[in-house]
Amino acid sequence: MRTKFLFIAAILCIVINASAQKDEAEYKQRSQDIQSELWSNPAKEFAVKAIPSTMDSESAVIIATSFDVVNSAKMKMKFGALGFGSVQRVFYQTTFHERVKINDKAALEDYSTIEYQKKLDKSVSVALIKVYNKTTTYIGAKIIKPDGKEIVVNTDEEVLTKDETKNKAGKLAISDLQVGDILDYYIRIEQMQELNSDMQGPYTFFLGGEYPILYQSIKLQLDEKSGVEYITGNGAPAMKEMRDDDDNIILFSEQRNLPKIQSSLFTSSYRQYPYISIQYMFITKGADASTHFSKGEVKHGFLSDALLDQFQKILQSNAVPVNYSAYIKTANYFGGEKHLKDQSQDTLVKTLYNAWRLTTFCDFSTTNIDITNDNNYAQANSLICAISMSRMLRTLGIDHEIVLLCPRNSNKLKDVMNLGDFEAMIHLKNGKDYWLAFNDIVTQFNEIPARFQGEDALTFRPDMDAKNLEYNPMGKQKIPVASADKNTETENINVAFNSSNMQQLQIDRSTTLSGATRHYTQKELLMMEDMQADLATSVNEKKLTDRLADDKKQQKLVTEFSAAFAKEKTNQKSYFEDEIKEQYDQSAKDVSSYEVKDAGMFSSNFMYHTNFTMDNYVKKAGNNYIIEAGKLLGSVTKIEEKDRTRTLDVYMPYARTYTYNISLALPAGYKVKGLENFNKNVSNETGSLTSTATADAAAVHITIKQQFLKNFEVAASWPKLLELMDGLYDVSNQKLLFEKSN
Amino acid sequence: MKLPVTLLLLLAFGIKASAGNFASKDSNIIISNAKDVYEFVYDKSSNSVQVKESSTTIYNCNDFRSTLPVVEFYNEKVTIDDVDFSVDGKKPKDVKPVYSYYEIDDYFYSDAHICYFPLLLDKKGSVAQVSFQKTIQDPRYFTNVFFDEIFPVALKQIVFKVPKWMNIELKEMNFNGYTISKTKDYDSKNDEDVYTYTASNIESRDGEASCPGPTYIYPHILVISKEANPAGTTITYFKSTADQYAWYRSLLKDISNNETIIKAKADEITAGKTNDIDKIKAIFYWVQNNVRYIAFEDGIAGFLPDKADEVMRKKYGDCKGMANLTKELLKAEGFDARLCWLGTNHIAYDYSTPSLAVDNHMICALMYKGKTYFLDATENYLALNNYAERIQGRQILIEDGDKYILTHVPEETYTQNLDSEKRVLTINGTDLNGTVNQSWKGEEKEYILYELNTVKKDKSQDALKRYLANGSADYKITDLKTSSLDSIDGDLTASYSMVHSNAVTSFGKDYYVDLDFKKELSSSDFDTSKRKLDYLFPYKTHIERITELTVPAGYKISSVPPDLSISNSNYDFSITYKQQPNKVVYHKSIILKNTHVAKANFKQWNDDIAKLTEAYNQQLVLTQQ
Repeated sequence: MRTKFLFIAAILCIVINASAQKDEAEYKQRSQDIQSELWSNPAKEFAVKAIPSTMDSESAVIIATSFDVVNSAKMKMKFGALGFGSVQRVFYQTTFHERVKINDKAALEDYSTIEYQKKLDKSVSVALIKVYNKTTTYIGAKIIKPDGKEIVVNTDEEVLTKDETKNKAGKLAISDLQVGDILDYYIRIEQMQELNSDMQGPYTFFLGGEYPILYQSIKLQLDEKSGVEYITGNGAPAMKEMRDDDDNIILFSEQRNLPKIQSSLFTSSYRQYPYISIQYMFITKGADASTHFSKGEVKHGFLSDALLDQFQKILQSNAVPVNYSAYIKTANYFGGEKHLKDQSQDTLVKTLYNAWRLTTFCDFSTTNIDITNDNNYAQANSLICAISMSRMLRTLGIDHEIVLLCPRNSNKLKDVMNLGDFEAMIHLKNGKDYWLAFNDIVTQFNEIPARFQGEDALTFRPDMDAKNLEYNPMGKQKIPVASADKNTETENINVAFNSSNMQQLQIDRSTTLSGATRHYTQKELLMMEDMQADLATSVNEKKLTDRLADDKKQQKLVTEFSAAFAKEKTNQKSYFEDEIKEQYDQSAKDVSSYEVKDAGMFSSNFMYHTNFTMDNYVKKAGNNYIIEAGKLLGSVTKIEEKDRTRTLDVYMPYARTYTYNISLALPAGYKVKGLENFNKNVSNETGSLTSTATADAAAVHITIKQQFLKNFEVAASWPKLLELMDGLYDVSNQKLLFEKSN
Repeated sequence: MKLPVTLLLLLAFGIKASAGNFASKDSNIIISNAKDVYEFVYDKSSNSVQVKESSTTIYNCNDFRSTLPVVEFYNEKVTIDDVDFSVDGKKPKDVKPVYSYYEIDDYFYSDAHICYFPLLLDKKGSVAQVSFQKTIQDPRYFTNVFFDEIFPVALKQIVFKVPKWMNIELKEMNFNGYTISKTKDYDSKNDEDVYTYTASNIESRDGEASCPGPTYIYPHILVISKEANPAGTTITYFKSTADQYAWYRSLLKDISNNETIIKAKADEITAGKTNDIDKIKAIFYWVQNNVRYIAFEDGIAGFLPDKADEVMRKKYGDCKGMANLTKELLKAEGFDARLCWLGTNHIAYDYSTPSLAVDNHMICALMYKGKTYFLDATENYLALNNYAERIQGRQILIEDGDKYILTHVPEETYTQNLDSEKRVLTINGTDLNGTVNQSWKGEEKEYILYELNTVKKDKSQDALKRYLANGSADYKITDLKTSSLDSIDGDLTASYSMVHSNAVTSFGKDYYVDLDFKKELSSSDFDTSKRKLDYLFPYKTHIERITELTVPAGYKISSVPPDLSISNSNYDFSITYKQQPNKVVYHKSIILKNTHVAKANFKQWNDDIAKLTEAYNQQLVLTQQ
C-alpha cells in the first residue's frame, strides 16, 4: 500500500513538474511573440533615436508612449453541471509601451526598475466545473545606446517577490541602463474571464506629465458587444472613432509635443489640465440591467442620462440597506416616535443630523478598542449617507432634496463617469434653507464643506405622497459659497519677555477658528472621548462609558474604554506641540499650558488656548533688543518667483479672514521704535490687508487683518492676490526695537 | 550592505514582534513570559548540525481589548516548521498565518520572508500564547539573541542546549543596567550543557532617530558557534577569525570573473592616464559613477559577490559586487587590489568575535607603495582617500591568499569634511549685498552632490540656490558658478553674488545687522524628557564661516556682540567679531570632532547649545556719525 502511495505521489510530482514546465515554456513563447509584435516593426514614433538638442536640459524626454487595448470575446464549449454547453470568454489585452531618453541620474533612478504582477489566477473550481479568470503580465525592455547599439534586457533576471502557483509578482532591475541611453520598455497584461465581465478602467491620461512627451497615443480595439464611455476634460481633443471590418469599435487619440506639467499653487488638476478618461465593459447576456454602458455604443463627453437613471433606480430601490439608527435616537430624544410630529422641523432635522454624526463617527467597535486620534479623520461616504438621511426624512414627512455634485478639487460635474465620482448632500428649503453634509465629525448642521461650495449640483426630490419610493430629477442648482467672514482665524497673542531670559518670549495665545478654517485643527487637537460625549449629550444620551455602565452585559467594557481614552489623553500635549510647530514653523521651547475652550462641535467657533516659550524672536544689540514681532503671527510663505506669473485660474481653498491681535509687553526702562513699519493698508477686489501698531506705557499693540474675498479668482486677478500675500509676508518680516531708556 | 546580518538581526529580534508602533512603557499589551529554547541537533542524513528554536511567548492584555499583530521572520536558511497560538486557552478559528515576502527598506530584493497573523485579545486580561518552531540550518547563521521585544517584557528566558559535541561561546552583551541571571546545568540524559538566562522587566524597544545600532544598546547574547564533533568527525565553524575568513574565501572560489572583458574595460577607463594614481582614480570613480547600488541578496548570495564582468554588464550591484568589480578592474591594470569585509559603525562587534554578525559590508583595498587605500564604491561622491564616517576606524578583514590581514580603516578627523564660506558684504538700505565663495570637502561635498543628483537636472540649479540660501526666500542668488556637479575628485566650489533682503534693520541713526543667516545647530538641544538614547550625527563636521562687512561711510561700529568660545573633546563652537578699518569680520567655526553624543553628555550639550543660540541672537550695531 505504502509503495503504491509513493508511486502515485511520484507520478503526481512528475505531472505537476511537467505542468509547471509547460506553463513556463508557454510563458516564454508568448513573451517572445509579444516582443516580436512590439519591436519588429514599430511605429515610426517608437523608432526615434534622437531628440532635439533643446531638450538636453530636461531630466528625461518621453519620445513615445502608447496605451493600447484589444478586447474580444469568444464562445467556448465546456462540460458543465448540465452537460456540454457554451460559455463566453472575454479577453483583454492591455499594452503600455514607452520609449524614453534618460538625461540624468534622477531619471535613471525613476526608470531603473519595473515591478509587475506576473500572474494572477482567480479561477474558481467547483466539482468538475472550472470558471476561468486569469491575468498574465509580460514585460520587455531594451536599451539604445548613444552609438545606436540596441541591447535587449534579459527579463530572466527578474526576481519573484511572490512565487505561488496562482500568484506571482516580479521585479526587474534594468541592466546596463545609463544616463544618455534610450530605454524602450513595455508591459503587456493579458486577462481572460469566463462568465463574467468586469468594467475596465477608468484609465485616465493627462496630456502631459512629469517629463515632456514627443508623442502620446491611446488606442482601443473593442469587441462590438462592448460599451465604451470616455470624456475629454479641459480641452483635450476627442478621440477618433471608427469600426473595422469585423465591426469592432476602434477609438484612437494621438498627441505630439506635450510640454511637461509644472506644479503650481492653488490649482485643481481635473479642472485645469487636459485629460482623457476611458472606461469600457463587455456587455454579456447576464450584464446588470441597470448598467450605464450600452452595448456597441461609444458615449463621449458628458454625464450620461443612463448614469443618472442608475442613481434614480438606486434611490427608489427598497433593496438598498438604510441605517435608521439616527432616526431611532431622534425618536428617543423626543420621548418616542409618537412625539416626533409635535416638533418643529428645524429642531427635528438638527437633532437627526447630530444623531447621524454620533452614529457614524462614534460607533466604536467593542471587540477591538481603537479610539486613537486617527479616528478623528474618518470621512463619511456622502452618497450612502445622503440616501439613508433622505429615507429618514421621508419617514418623518420632511420634504427635501438630494443634491449630487463634484467637489471643486475633482472632475467637473459634466465629466462624471461613475456614481462614485459624485458626492451628495441633503437640501431642505421649507422656509429657510438648510444643508446637511456628510463629511467629517466636526461638520455641523447647515455647514457646507468648502470643497462643495460654488459647485453646480443635480437635484432629486422624493415624492412625499407616493406610496412607493419615488424620486424625481429636479434639474440643477448652485451650491452657496460662504463669505470670508464665515471662515476666520483670530489669534489673540499676549507676549512678554521671559523673566529669566530676555531672549525668550512667553507667548499666551488664544485662537478662535470658524467655518472651514476649523476642521483640520479640530481634528488635530480634540479627543474622541470628548467629541463623542458632546455628540451624545446633544441627543440626550449619556457618554459612552456611562451608557456602557448602564448595561449589565457591557459593564466590563467601562474600565477598558476608560483606560483607552486615558491612554490617548496622554498624547494630547504632543498634538498641541505639533500645532504650535505648524503655526510658527518652529518648536516651542516649552508648552506650559494648553486647553480647548470651546470644542466647536455645535457652536460656530472652535477656541483653544496655549501658553509657551519661544526662542529666536529676540536679538540683543548692545543694550537694546530687536523683536521679530512680525514672526508672532506665525509662518508666512513668500510666493516664489516661478509662481508669480500664471495663466491658470486660482482655486483658493475658501474665502477667509485672518486676524491677529498681538500685545507685546514693554519691559520697564525700554522704549519702542519701529511701530510705523507695521502700518500697511492694501485693498483690491480680491481682498484686503490692514496692519497697524500702537503703543502705550505698558505694551505694544499690533493688529493685522488679511481677507480673501472669494474661493476662486481668474488668472488675471493673480497680481491682486499677490499684493495681499506679499503684503502679509512683508509685515511678517518687520521688527521692533526696544531701546534702553537713558 | 550584505543582507544576512541584517536579516539575522531581524530574525533574532523579530521573534513575536509586532508591526505596530504602539508599544511603550505604558503598553496595553505586555509580554508576561517568554521562553526561547535553542538546541543544537545533529542531522545524520546531511551530516550537518542544525539549531532547533522553540519559542513560546505569553502576551497579556492589560487595559483594553485590542489586536496583537504577530510577526515572525524566516528566510532561505531559517525555516518555520510549526506555528501554534491560542487566546485564553482556545485556538481562534478564523486566524490563519500568512507567509509572505518581506520588503526591507532600501533593498531591491532579499530572501527575507515573514509569517504574520492578527490575534484578537478580546478583553482586558486576555492572555495569548504564541509558539514557533524553527530550524536554523547552519549554526553559522545563528548569531545573536536579544532579550527585548516590541512590547515590554516582564520575564524572559533564553535557553541554550549545547551537546558536549558542540563547542560554542556565549558572549553577554549590554547586560549592565538589566536584571539578567544565568545558570548552567548539565543534562546527563542528553549529555548536554543547558545555559539558562533569565531577564526581568525589559523595556520595549522604541525606535529613535539617529541612535547607535541595536547591538550597542540592547541586552543580547552573541552566539559564536566554533566547531562540532557529533559523529566522530569535526565540523569547524568559526573557531577563529581564520575560520571565518576561510569560509568567506571558500565562497569566493566559486566566482569566475571574465578577465578578458574586465581587462578591456580597465584599459578603456584608464586610456591616456600615465600616472598610477590617475589610473586608480579613473577606475574607482568609473565604478562609483556607472554602477547603481542595488541591495540584492538571496541566501548564500548574501555573502557571495557577483562576478565582476556581470556587475559591469548590468551596471548595478550591491556592495560585494561593486567591491569585486573595483578590485578586478584595478588588478587588470596591475595593481594589488583585494576584497575586504567589515562591519560599519552600526555594529558593535569586531573580528575578535568571529561571527557572521560582525560584518555587514564589503569594499576593496588597494595596496600601493606601502599604503593601503580603501575603496568603497557605494559612496557615490566620496573621493579616493576620503572615508565615510560609517567605516572610519572600523576593523577590516583584507584577503591575503590563504591568510588574511586584519587592520583598521583610517579614522579621519573633522577636517576631511570642511564646509567653508566667505562672504564680502556691503549694506544697501535694509539689504546686504555681496559676493560669496564657498567650498565643500569630504562627506559635506558628497551629501550635496548626492542630493543634487537626485533632483531633475532642470530643477537642480534652483535646488542648489535654495540650499545656499538656507531656504530663505529673501536671499537672492545670481551669477552662480560651481565646479562640476558630477565630479568626485577635488573640492566642490561655488561662487555667486547675493542680495539678502531685510537682513539689516534700520532704526533712527542705527543699523542693526545680523551677520549670520545660517545659524547651524541653533536650538538643537535634546529634549531630555523624551530622548532615551544616545545621538549620532551622520559625520564629523567642520564649518567655517567668514563674513566681512564694510562699514558704510559716515557710520561707526557702536556695538559688537561678545565672542563665543566653547571647546571640549567632542566639539568646538567659536564666534569672533574683529574690527578692522572700515570693516568688521565675523568668523564662526563649528566643529564636531565626535559624531556620538552620549545621553550622559546631553546636559552639557544643551548648555553649550543655549550659549551658541544666545550668541546667534546678538546683532552688530552701526551708528551714523
